[in-house]
Amino acid sequence: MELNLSRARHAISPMRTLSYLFITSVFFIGCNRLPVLTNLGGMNYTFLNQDSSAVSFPSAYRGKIVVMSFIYTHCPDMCPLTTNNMQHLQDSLASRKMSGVQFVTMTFDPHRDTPAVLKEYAEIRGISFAHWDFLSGSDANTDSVTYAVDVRYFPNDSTYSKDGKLSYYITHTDKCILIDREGRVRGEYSGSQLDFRSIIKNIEELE
Amino acid sequence: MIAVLCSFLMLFGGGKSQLRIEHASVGVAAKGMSSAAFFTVVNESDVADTLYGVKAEFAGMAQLHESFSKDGMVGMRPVRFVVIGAKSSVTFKHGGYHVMIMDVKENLRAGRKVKLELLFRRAGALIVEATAKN
Repeated sequence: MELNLSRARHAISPMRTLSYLFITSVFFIGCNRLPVLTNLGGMNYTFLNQDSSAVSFPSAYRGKIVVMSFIYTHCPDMCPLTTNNMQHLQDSLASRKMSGVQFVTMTFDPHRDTPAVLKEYAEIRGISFAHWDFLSGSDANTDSVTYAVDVRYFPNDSTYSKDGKLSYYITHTDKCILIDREGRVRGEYSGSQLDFRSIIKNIEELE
Repeated sequence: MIAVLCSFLMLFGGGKSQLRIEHASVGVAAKGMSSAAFFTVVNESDVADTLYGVKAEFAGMAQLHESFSKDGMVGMRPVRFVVIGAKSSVTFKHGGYHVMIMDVKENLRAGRKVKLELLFRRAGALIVEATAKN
């Protein structure tokens, strides 16, 4: 009698086995997939790149993995660090034969950061535009994209130079994001203190 | 009595500090854009000194600034002076104190050298050569 009970206790029905397999596979698939933080796929805004060519964001990058940063070129400290980190990341990816990743840098100071200014900013840093766009757009479009990815910015202290030229600084979110091939944000990182190991691992997961 | 006299001389006698500026660099920047200067001020003397100003002939304007970070936001603000304590050092670096340089007159490409004049209360004006870096 006891033997029968024990057998019954350990008997697993085919249905139960399938349920276990399903739950386990969902768990492991979930572990390997990055969460979707924001879906940008439904939006489409026009920006100008460094050559003043119109770029529809994000649809122009559909099918590509994108690393996107947000800067203003009059920032002397944190934004150059972010840009420098993007360059290092691009080099690191190239050394891993992962050079297909697209880089996008968007200014949140479009009045000063015209396409020509962005081009100069990039060129003096030796940045190649083969896989890197610098985008400048209208206030409305810039606000729409930055709001969607939770990047905040506002002007604060300002200074007048001797010739009366106003110079202002911007307090802003220190962030870069990872976008998948379908235009979905899959990772967020500090731009100025980029965790290279983490973002490279996440890019590999999207590959 | 001697200690009081020494303190008085140090405070009001204009005692010279012995400052050394190390690892001076500026960020690369295109003509008309902004940059920042970074360095370490080493004070080996027994008296504190105060950096209160900076001049940069290669730019339209230079100011002492500090960056700040709070709740994922970063920004910067001008500071009027920076005290370098006796027998100590202060490093001007990314994310902290730096010299904000506005409207550079010529392209600052990597490797280019420029001169900065740092104005200290006790040590006076110190001229330092800074190398442009990415």
